[in-house]
Amino acid sequence: MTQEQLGEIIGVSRQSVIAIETMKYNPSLELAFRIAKAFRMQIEDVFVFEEKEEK
Amino acid sequence: MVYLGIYGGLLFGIAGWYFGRRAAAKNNGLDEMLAYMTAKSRSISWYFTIAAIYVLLSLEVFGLSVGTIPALAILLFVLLGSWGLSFFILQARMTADPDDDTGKGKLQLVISITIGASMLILFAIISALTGEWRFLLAAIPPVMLNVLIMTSLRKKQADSGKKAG
Repeated sequence: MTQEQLGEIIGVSRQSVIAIETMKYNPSLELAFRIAKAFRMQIEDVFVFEEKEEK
Repeated sequence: MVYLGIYGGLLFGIAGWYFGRRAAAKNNGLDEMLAYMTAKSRSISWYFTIAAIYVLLSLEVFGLSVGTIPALAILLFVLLGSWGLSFFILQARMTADPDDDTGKGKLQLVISITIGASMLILFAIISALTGEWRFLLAAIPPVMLNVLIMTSLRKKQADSGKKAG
């Protein structure tokens, strides 16, 4: 599946897909569920919570 | 002439906003990330506006009043200019395709020139309004800082490019 195709399915631009992929943008819970649904997976299989290291 | 500037600017602004949204809607561009970038850049632009308010207040305190209408025009220019610029930078940074490295350096150069030119324009407006040419000298430190940051960024990029190669 291309970024463009995923964008069409979940209703966002290709740029937004790139930003989510490169972790520059955290999607809303609703969008995260839509992405997981597009891949027919559970949300926790697509997104993994990583705690940021304290500086 | 003044009416033309005020209402012409407003008309062009609304037209730009409308056609921009229409073009974005064609490729699902009106999404939550656009809303996030709009809100974030608007928030950033308020910091610049606060700084501009302090500059104008300082001018008033030091007896170099620019007048109500020019002061409002400068504030509007700073607010809209920094909003647009910060949105542009935010968008470029967030949506940069890691697989496509072309145009990255060019974009940084454009951003740097835009920032430098904006600073020069702002200080030129202030010096023209106050009749005090020395305000142009005040533009030198921020412009130099901009050039220094840009040069070091390009050097860093070139170094990392050599290491990767």
